[in-house]
Amino acid sequence: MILIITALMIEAAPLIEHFRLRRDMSIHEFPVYRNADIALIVSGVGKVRSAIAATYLLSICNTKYNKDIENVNDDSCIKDHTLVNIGFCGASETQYEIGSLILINKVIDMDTGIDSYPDVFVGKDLPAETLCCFSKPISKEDFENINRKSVFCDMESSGIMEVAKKFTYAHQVVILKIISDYLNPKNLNKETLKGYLAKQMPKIEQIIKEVKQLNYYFSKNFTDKIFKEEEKIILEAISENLKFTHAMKQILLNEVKKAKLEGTEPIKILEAYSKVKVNSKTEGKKFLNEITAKLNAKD
Amino acid sequence: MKLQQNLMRKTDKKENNKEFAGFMDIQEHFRDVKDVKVDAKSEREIFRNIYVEEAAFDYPITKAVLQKYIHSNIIPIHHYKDVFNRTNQHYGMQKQYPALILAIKSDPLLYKGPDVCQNFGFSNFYYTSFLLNCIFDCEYCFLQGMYPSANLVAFVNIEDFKDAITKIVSNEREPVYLAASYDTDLIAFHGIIPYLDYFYDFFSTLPNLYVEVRTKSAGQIFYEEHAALENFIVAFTLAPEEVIKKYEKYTPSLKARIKAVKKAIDKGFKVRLCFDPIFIDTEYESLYEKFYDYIFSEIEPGKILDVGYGFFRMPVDFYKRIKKQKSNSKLFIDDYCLIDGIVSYPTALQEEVKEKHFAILLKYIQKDKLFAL
Repeated sequence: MILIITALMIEAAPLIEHFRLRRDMSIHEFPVYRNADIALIVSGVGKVRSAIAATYLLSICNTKYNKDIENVNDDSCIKDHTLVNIGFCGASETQYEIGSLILINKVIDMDTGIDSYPDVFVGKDLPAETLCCFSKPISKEDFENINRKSVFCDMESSGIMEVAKKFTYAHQVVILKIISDYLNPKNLNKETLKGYLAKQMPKIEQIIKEVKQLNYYFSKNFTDKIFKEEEKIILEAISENLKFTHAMKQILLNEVKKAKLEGTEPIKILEAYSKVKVNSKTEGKKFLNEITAKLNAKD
Repeated sequence: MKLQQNLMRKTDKKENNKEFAGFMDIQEHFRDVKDVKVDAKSEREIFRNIYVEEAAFDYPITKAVLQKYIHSNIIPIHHYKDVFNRTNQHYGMQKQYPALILAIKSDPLLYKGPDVCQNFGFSNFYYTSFLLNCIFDCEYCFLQGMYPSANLVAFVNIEDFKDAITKIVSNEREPVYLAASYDTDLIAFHGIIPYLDYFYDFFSTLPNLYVEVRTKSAGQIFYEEHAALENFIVAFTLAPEEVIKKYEKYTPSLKARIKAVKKAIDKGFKVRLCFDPIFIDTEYESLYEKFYDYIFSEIEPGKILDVGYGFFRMPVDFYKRIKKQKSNSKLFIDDYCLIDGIVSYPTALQEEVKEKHFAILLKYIQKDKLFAL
C-alpha cells in the first residue's frame, strides 16, 4: 500500500481529489483518507508530528486496512507498504523554478546532524537533491548563519526517515518536495501553492505508479508466497491440533517448503493429518517425525 | 591490427553488457508495464547514485569515475558505512539496481587468508579488498551474508594499499600469497574502475609477492593490454553450463569463459582453474564428470598452473542471514552439516564425490597441482 504523509491540508487536498480518496470517519486522531491502495494522513507541521502520523498510518495499515485489502484480493498491494512524503520545501538558490518537483536522496536532520539515505529506485527523470530538515521555518536571514552553500529545507522529512529506518526497507520510503519559495516563507498564497501541486500531479502520479510496480516486483520476488491459502489453513490446523511448539511448526514449514521447491505437492500428505488431535507435545513430536518422513519419501 | 583490436573491444563490450544485464532488471520490469517510460539516458546510467566520502573527492580514481558517469547523482557522505551499513536495506532489491560508493579504506588493509579458502601451498596467505561486492549475482555467494548491502564500495586510496602490501612483503621471509579478488571480481569490474591498471606495475616490483585475481569474466581486453607477470595468477571459476544458468545469474556462459581462459593462456598468463563451489545434488551430480572431460578437451592441461577444488560451503552466520532473505531458494533450504562453524555437505558425502571427481581430474592434472579443501 502507498502511505502518503503530508504536513498540511493544502498539500493533501489536490492529492485527495486526484486519487479520489475518501475520509475514514472511524479515525479521529488524524485526518486519514484512502482508497483501495493509497492511504493519506495529514500529520501537522514538524518532524515529531510527521513521525507520529507515519507510524500511526503504518500501524492501522498493518491491522485494520489489511483485512479490507485481502477482501479486495489484489496481490499487488498486500502488506508491502511504502511511505511517501509529499510537501513543500524552501530553496536557498534559484537553480530550480518555484513550483518544481524534486526527489530527495539524502536527508540531514539539522538538529542532530544525522544523515539518512533512502534507496531511490523511482523517478529517474526527476532532479535529485539533499534536503535539510529544520525545526522551524527558515528565512534568508537564518540561512546566512548556516554553514552551507545551498539548502533545500523542510520540517518533516527527518521524522519520516526515522520511521522508515524502523519499519520499512530503505527503498520503501520516497520524499518528494515542491519548491514553494526562495526562503521567504511568509508571503505564500494558499491558492498559488495548491496550483503548484496540481501542476506537478502527472509527475506525482507517475512516481506513485512506479512505487506500486516496485512493490509488486518486491512482493513477487522477495516475499514468501510459496504456500497457497488452503495449505496455510491446513498447516495452521496441524500445528494447533498436534500441539506443535514454535520450533516444531518451523520444522514442518521448512519440510513442506522444501517438498514444494522440489516440485512435489505435499497437500495430500498434510490433509491426512489435519484432523488428527493429540494430548501432549511428545505425541505431537511423533507425528511431526512421521510427516517429515513421508514428505522426504515423496522426494 | 587496429581493426582486430577494435573488434576485440566490441566483443568485450558485448560481454560487459551481459555482465551488467542485472542492473536493468527493474527497468525491464517497468518496460513491460504500459505507460512507463524508460529513456535511453537511464539505460546508459549504470549507477544512478554515486555516494562519495567527502575526503575521497580529490583522489584520481574518484575524479575518473565522476568524469565517466556524468549523469549519475553525486551524493556526498561522511563515511561509507553511513550508507553501506544501514540496517534496513534489502540486498536483493539493491542487487537489481546497485549504487556505487567511493570511499577511503582505513586499517586494516590486508587480512590473513581464511581457513575456508585454499592457500595453494603458501603459508603466508593474505587477502585484500579494493572493492566490496560484485557485479554478478550468484545465488550461492557468501557476500550476501557477509555484507548488509549490495551496493558496491570502491576504495580509492590505492597508495595506502600499496604501502600495506609492501610492508607485509618486506616483513615476511617466505613468499606472500595475496588474493586480491576474493570479495569481488576485479576483471569483470575493469570497465568501470581498472584497479589492476593502478597496481600492475607495482606488483611487478615485488617478486616475493604472488597475486591471485579470481574471475568469472569473459572480458579479454585485460589480457590484450597487459603483459603477463611471473607473480600474477588469473584464476577462472568454471562450472557446468547448467549450474551457471541456475546459480550464477548474469555471469558469462561457460563457452565465453573458456574463450577468455584460452586468450589468457595465449598471452602467457599463469592460469588457475577453480571448480568451486561444487554442488552435490541429484540434478547436477552426473554433469561434473562430463564437464571435466569437456574442459580439458578445450583447454590444454599442461598449460594450466594448477586447479582449485571445493564444495559449496560458508560460515553458519552468513548462511542463516541468506536463508532468511532467500526464503524461496532451494539451495538454502537443503540439509547441510555444520562443522566448526561452517555449513557444507556431510564429510563422508564430500569424500565420496571428491573421489569420483578426482579420478577424472587426475587423468589431466598431476596430484600436486590439485588443491582441494
